[in-house]
Amino acid sequence: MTNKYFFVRVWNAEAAMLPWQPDGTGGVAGSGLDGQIGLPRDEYYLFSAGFQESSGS
Amino acid sequence: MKALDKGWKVSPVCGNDNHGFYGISHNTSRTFVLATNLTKVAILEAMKHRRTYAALDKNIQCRYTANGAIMGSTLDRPVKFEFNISINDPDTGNPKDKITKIDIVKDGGACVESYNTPAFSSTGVRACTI
Repeated sequence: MTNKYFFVRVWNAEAAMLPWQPDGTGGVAGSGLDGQIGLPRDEYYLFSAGFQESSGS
Repeated sequence: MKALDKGWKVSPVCGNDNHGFYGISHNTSRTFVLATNLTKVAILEAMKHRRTYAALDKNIQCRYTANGAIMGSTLDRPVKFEFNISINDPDTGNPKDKITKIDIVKDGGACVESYNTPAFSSTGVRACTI
């Protein structure tokens, strides 16, 4: 069983002005978000997931 | 996203690693929960059904439905998806808080729809079918 999913991602001006860089600079200072989920902060300013069941094989 | 791609049904939370009062007062990581009322039972029920979103903003308001089902729901393999998205930030008078773009992202992180504001009213509802 696998899932398809959607989520909504929202950017505001602060997130757009401070893009996360692979060397760890940028992003929203002090967020800790990248460290906690291991992904660039600017990609995860905000999101929420929705799911769709698939039959799988 | 890696967890979602593995098929885990998870919803986001946002935490913070602070080491003092400055960080607590200035770093506004938030986990938002769409609960039917402010009771422990309702909040836990909302978290159980993945009605959460995460932000580094202290008061942004986000909710959406897909085919009438609230975010976090599981759908029964529809062919089309009709989204109703509502985003609002009470502080958009602050230039940093102006909402600039809203994306709908799917499996593997692919962006299937993208709306630049003000084409997408940050205080309104957007309906789209994909």
